[in-house]
Amino acid sequence: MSDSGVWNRNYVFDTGKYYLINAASGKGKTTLLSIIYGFRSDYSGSIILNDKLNSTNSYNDWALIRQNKLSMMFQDLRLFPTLTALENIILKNSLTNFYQEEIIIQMAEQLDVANLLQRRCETLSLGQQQRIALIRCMCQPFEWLLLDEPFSHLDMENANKCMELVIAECRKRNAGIILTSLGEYIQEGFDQKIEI
Amino acid sequence: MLNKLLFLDRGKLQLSIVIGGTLLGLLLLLIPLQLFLDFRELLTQKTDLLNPQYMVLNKEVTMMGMASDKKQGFSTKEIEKLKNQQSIEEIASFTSNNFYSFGILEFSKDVPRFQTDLFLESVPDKFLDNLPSTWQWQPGKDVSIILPTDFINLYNFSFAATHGLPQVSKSVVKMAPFKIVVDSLGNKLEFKAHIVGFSDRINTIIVPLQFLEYGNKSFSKPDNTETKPGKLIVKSNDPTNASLTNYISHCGYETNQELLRNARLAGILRVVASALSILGILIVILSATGFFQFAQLVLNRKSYEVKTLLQLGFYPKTIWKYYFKIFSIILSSVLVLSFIVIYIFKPWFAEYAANFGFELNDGVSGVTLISGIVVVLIYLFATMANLWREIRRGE
Repeated sequence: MSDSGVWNRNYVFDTGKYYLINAASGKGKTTLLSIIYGFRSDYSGSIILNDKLNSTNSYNDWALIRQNKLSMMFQDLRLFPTLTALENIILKNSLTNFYQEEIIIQMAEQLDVANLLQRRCETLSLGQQQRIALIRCMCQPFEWLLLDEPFSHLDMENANKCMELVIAECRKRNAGIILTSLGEYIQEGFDQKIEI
Repeated sequence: MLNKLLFLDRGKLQLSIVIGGTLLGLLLLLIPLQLFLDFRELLTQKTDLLNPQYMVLNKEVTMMGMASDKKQGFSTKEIEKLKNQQSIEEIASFTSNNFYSFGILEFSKDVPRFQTDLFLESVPDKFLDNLPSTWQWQPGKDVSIILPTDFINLYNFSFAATHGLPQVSKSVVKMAPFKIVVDSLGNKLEFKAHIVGFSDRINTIIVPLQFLEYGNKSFSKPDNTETKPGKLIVKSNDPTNASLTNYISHCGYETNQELLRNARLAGILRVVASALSILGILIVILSATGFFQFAQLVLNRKSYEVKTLLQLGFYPKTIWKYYFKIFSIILSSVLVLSFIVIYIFKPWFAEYAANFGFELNDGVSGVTLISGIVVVLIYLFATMANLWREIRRGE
């Protein structure tokens, strides 16, 4: 990874800016986000979030960061299959009570999944699950939105709708975005593109 | 919602097995414990006026002894040597009557009266327990009497039954108007007497020492030489002491069989109790591992849920608290169930033991209950400590 844009060098993600990371599979997109989000610690070097070293965070520090500062959409979605779509979202929302249920339903309508809210997640298609997982990400305050291949199961039209929601939510919070992608549709609207 | 996520959605059978196993382990510890406490209480019952710590010693009547002229008894030297034995605190000799006396029981003029020759004995007051305040005797007072329990039993079951006479209870006997008649040296004196208590450990009638000493001084035949006491009462702080019992049998003294039997029983009980308690602890440890593994199993099955919740930003403590609640409920239920079982079991077992002559009480000792609670708390603590480690490791 010697010529990669992120590894083995110092990199600064500026507050409120939108970053797109393009890379083929296996180049370490998920690893990077996992490290930033704190659930992988097998790296050398240091990650500093708001002047605090990641490695000095306790379990409770991480919980707080994930509730308030970082919101992540996982590549494998990490939904609970036995809960309904709405229950999955509310579970996350309940940590901060950020949104009322009406807002959640509004977001679901925006992404064409409102009629799926009462269905168990295991009965939804991957594309539908991805949109639910995205809505879940929005139900908290954050400074950074980390999206790991968020549109991999969506067509262009749905991907665009999702991006609209993402940007709207980030503007509300003056938050930054780090989005990883295999190099597909959504390529515009970013402050910086990184190839690794 | 957490409930749905974190606990087993299937595997009710496993849950039942674990509950059963934990319950069994708990019962296997608590029931022997309770029985041990009951039997120990039985052995140390103090209802006798003659304290069980006091031994009654007498010399064995041998052929040689019978052939000799001298009356058999304990010499001063023998008494001294006995006194020096370890665990012996005090010794006194039984005083007996050197005058002729008989006793009369007369309820009324119409009922035939009972009369019997009396063998009276006495020991210093301090060897007797729970004496009524009226025990001490002076001339003019009624004489208090302690009867062997066997007398009542003999009367009730052998005499009264065959002669068609009514049986008496201990309280009735205490009210009976008894008279001691002394007939010696031409004197015939009557003393009013009352039976104030009973003892399993004597075979003669016990009267206050003051009365006997007065009687012996006033009524005994003048040619009565210094006699060696035939019976000794001995106070020991540990009657089951092996060296003491060995010395006694070595010297050829006899002692109340019951004490020896109790000592032996106590010894056996101690050994059995030790073995059972080791076994009980092992069983508890075994069943604890079962519970422990069950908790681990639940966590393993739910590792995706736990991990995801942490990644979503839940505090590890929140997850831990949920499991604490669940396992507390399970263990409390097991504890309550075990108490119910024991409460049902005890009266049934007491009835069963009564067939063998053991009078156990129906209740459950506080020690048993507390032991149960302590064991369950240890289970809970060990399980939750492990879960805490595991949850955080799930990062």
